[in-house]
Amino acid sequence: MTTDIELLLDATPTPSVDAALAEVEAFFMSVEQRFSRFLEDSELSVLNRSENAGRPVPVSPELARLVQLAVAAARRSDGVFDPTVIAALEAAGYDRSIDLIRAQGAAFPRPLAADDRPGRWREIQVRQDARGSWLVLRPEGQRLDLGGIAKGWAADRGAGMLRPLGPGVVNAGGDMRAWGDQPGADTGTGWLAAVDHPLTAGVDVAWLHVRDGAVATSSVVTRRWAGGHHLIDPRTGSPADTNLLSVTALAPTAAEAEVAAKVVLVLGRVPGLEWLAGEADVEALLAGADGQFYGTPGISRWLVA
Amino acid sequence: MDQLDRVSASRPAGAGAGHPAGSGRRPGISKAALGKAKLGAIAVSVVAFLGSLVAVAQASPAAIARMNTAAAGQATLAQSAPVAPSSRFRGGSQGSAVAPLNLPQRPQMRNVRPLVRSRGS
Repeated sequence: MTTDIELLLDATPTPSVDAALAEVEAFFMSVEQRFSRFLEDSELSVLNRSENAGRPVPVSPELARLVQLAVAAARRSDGVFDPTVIAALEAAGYDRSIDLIRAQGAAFPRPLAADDRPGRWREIQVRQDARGSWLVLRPEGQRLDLGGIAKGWAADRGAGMLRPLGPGVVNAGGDMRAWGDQPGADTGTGWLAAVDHPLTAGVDVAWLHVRDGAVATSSVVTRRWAGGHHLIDPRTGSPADTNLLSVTALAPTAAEAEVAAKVVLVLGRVPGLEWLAGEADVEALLAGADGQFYGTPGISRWLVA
Repeated sequence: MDQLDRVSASRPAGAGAGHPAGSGRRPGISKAALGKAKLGAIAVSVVAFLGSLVAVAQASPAAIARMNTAAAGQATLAQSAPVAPSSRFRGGSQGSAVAPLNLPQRPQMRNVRPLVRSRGS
């Protein structure tokens, strides 16, 4: 994930609390090991290498769930969120982890082969066989990338593991799921999350109440290199040509927030806000490249005045 | 001293705490106490803190910088030509008028500051 994970739990440290935190810590490490496209022996890489030729491949329930979530997000966004952008990402220069790209420099962007164009997410199938084992059928010749949704999903899962122990937050590099109230805050206030300035890390542009829900921010600034950035527009197969710098979305789950932030960022300001109007329980704060902020009609309810 | 620093100071040796959002520091955690681990590409910072020890601190509003200063000089970073809307998104164009949002200049809440930060990824 190349990101920091924070687990904040308002609870008296006891052996059971420590054990639960350690369990979530181990869970996040397993997510990286199993679902990174950069690790050759990850479960995702094995799936992507499989010579399925139209045959479903057995996968773990967790990978099946992630693929289900990704396909559902693609459907809701009319393919603006697309888990089959991996070839386009590589063609744009994102062929190694962002740490390696920063250290070594990015490959020069190359044209995307016609067969590698995104948009074939409709061919993905996820199902169980008669024995209850999970199977995934990926489009022939296409690989899956779950980088756009795995962090949020993991934050949601981690939150579910810690929730019985007290109020808390699982923050996966800015994609977070919170429950209960922050220590010292009035009842019902939730947790406060600072939204980072899109161009100046560590500088707040707003504070948000997060009440039993999630926040995620997507940016075209952070994972950027000469010639591109990591947010592919599946309609073009190239890094998104957007008039936004970043989008912060609030949603019931971190996976939903992560998807919403990416979709709006790809769509741009007006189409993005139009799409959000059809999304229940999702609000967003948009940082425009024009130096202005924009938001959904309901965002003011979540902003700390 | 912020909330979590107070917690840290109130806790026995070996107990740690994070740093509030906006402090300009990474959420650095005492490794010995909190099991901060770095494995592969991810770093996990684990914080458990005693709610009963969270002291009431005078809120010190974080530095709020508005986009119109910092972003103005760098807006070309992503400023670009419009994207053709897909069939589902034809209701407007990138250039349509959408009123900018006036964000609170100095948000603050009694005694409370953000402990987490949402940053672009």
